[in-house]
Amino acid sequence: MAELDLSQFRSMVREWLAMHLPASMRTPMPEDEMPWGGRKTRSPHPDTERWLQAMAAQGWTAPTWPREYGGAGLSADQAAVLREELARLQARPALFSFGLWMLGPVLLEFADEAQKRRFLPPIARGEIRWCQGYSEPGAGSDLASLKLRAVDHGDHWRVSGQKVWTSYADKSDWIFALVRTDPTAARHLGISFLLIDLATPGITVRPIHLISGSSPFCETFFDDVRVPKDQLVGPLNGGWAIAKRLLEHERQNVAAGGFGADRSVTNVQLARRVLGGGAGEPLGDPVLREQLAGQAMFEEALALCTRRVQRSLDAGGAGPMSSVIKIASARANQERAELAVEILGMDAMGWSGDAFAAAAVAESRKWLRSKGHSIEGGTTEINLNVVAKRVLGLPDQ
Amino acid sequence: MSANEEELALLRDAARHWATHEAPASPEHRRDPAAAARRWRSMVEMGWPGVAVPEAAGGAGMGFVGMGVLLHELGRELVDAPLLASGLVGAQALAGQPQQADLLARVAAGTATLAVALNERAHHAPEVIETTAEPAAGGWRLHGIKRYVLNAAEADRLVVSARAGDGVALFVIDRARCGIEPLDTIDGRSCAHVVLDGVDVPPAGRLHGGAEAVQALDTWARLGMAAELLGAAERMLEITVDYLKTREQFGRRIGSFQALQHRAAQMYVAQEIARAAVEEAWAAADRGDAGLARMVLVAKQVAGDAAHLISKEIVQMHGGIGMTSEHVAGRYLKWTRCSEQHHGTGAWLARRYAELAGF
Repeated sequence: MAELDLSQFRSMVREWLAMHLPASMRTPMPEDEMPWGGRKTRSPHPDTERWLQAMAAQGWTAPTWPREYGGAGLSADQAAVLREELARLQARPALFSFGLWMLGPVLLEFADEAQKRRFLPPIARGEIRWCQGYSEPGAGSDLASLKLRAVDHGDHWRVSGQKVWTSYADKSDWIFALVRTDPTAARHLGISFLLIDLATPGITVRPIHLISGSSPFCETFFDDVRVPKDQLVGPLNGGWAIAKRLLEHERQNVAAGGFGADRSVTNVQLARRVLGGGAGEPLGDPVLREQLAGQAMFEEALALCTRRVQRSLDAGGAGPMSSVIKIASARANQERAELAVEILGMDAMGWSGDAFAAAAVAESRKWLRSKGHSIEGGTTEINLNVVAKRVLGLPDQ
Repeated sequence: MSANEEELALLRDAARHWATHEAPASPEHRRDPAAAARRWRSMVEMGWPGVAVPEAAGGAGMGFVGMGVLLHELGRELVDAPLLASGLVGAQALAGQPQQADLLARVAAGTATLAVALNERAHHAPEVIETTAEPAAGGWRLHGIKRYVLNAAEADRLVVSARAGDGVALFVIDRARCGIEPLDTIDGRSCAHVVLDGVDVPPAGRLHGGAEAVQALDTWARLGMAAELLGAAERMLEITVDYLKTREQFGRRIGSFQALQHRAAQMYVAQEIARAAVEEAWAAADRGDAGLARMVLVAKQVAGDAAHLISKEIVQMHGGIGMTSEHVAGRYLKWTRCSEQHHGTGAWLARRYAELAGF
C-alpha cells in the first residue's frame, strides 16, 4: 500500500470500509462491549469479533507496523487517513490493547527478530491480551526503586515479589514486567524488561477496589515463577530505557483515548436534561453556559494538539510531548467530570438503589474514577518534571 | 494556493531575524511614531502586506499560513505595525469586491494602508452598532464613534461598520475625513477612537455584505490577534526559562526548584495547546474550512489563556526586576492584556462559541 498516493489510499479505505464495517459497529460502544481481545474475555456483541478479524486481516489494527509482524506497513500520513476515515464513520475501535499501544512499539524498537515474530502478530490479531507490570507497593512515582527480583537459574529466571496497579491483570494472558536483575548496581542500571505468561505456576492476581466501585487494577504476586531466558527483551540490565520509552507510548495513548472514559453523554446534553430548552436555544443558566463553552473550547484545542502528537508518534516518536497531552487531558477529564456532577446536583450523590437514575450514578462513578487520571501512567507531577527537565532544560541544581 | 513548508520556514527565519534585529521588544512603552513608520516601510519593502493576498489580486499568494507566520513573529517582539489591520483584515474586507480591486492591489503593495473599526464599546462587541449610515448626496453619510481602533492614525482608509436602514453594512472611508483621537495606552500600540461626524461616502464605498461580513472581518482580526498572542507567549516563556537557568539564590539556580519547574512546565503545556489551535486555524483558513469561525474562537481563547498565564509568571518569576520599567517583562504583561481585550475576551468568546454550538 506504500505505493498508493494519499487520495488513492483514501478511496481504497472507503471502499473497503463500505464492505467490511458492520453497521452495528458504528453505534456508541457500551463499556462491556469494548474489544480487549485475549483468551479470557469475549465481547457480548457478536460483530465485535468479525470486525476485529476483518481489520486484523488488513493489518489495520496496527497500521504502521511492518507487515511481517501483523501490521500494514502504512506511512504516518496513511495511518492518519485511515484514522480519519474510521472516525468519519464513527467506527468502533476494532481492538483495545495495551499490547498495541504500549508493548508493540517498544518490541519493534528493542526486541530481537525471534521475539518480534513470536509476540507481535498475536497482539495485532487480538489473540493475546497484555498487562503492565511496573508499579510496586514501594515504587510508585519513584519507579526505579522497584524490587521484583529475577534470579538467574541458567536456562531460566526465577521471579519473586509483587507488582501493583497492574491494569486488568485478572483478564490478561501475559504481563510485561520490569524486574531487578542486578540488586548491586545503581538503581537504574539493574533493571530488565521481562515478558511473563500469567498462566505460569506461582502467579496470583487480586483485583483492587477503587473509590468508584470499579476494579480495573490488580495486585499481582510472583512466588518463585519460572520464566524462560528468551523472554527478556533488550540488553540484560538495560530495561530502564525500554521502560521510559514505553511510558511515552502509554501517556500518548491514555491521553488520546480520553482514558477510555465513556463520553457518549456530553455535559451539554446533561445540562439540557436538567435545565430544559431545545437545541439552539441558549441554556437557562448563563454561568454554566460559559463554563461548558470554556471546557469545550479547551477540549477542542487539546484534541488538535493530541492529533499532532499522534502524527509525530506514527512518524517515529512523540518524546516528551506525550507528557504534555497526558497532563492536559487528565485535567480536562477531571474538570469535565466535576462539572457533570455539579450539573446533576444532589442527584449525583447516589451510589446505588432505585432512587437514583442509572445515568446519574454513572456520572458520579466517572467523576470518582477520573481522580485517577492524574495519577495513573505517571502522575501529573512526574510528567511536569519530564517537561521541565527534558523540554525546558531546567537544571537539577 | 499557499506556500509550502520550505517557503514558510524561510519566511519565518527572515521575519525572526528582522524582528529581533530591527524591532526588538523594548521596556519602554511610549510610541515612537517615526520609528514605527520606518519599520512599516521596511515590512512593505519585504512584501509582507501582500503575503496573504492572491497573486491575481496583486499579492504574494503565500496563503493565510504565511500571514500567520509573520504575525506570530511580530507578536514575539511586540512590534506595533498595521500588518494585522491592513494586510490581513483590511485586505479581507476588500477581497471579492470588484469595485475595490484597485485599492486591494495598493493595500497588498503597501502603498495604501487600512484600519478596521468594528467596535464601539469598552468590551469587544462588534454586534453592537450604533453608528448610522443615512442616504445623502447620492451616497451615504456616517455618524457615530468607533472605539479602540488599532492603527487608525496611520491608515489612509478605514473600514467601518454602520447601521444602514434595517441592516448592517461595511463602508470604506477616507481617514482624513474622520476625527482621530489617539490614545496613550499601556501597550504603546497605535490605538484611537474614531469620530464620524457626518462623513460622506460615495455609493462605491459601501461594501457588499451585511452582518455576516462584519462577523467575518472580526474573525480575521481575532485570528491575527491569536497568532500575535501565541508569539508573545512563546517569547515570554523563553525569557522566563532563561532567567530560571541563570538567576542564583540560596547558592543554586532558581530553575532547580521544583515549585518553579512545575509552574514553568504548566506554561509550556498551555503554550503547546495554543500552538496547535492557532496553527490549525490558519491551515483551516487556507482550506476554506466551514468551521473556521469556531476554530478561531478556540484559538483566541487558548492563546489568550496561555499568554495571560505566562505574562503573570514572567513578572512574578523575575521578582523585583520584573516590576521595574527597565525590564521588558512588564511591557509583555501590558501588551498581552490589551491584546486579550481586542476582538474578544474569555467570556465573550465562550458565549459566541455556545451560540455557534447551539447551546
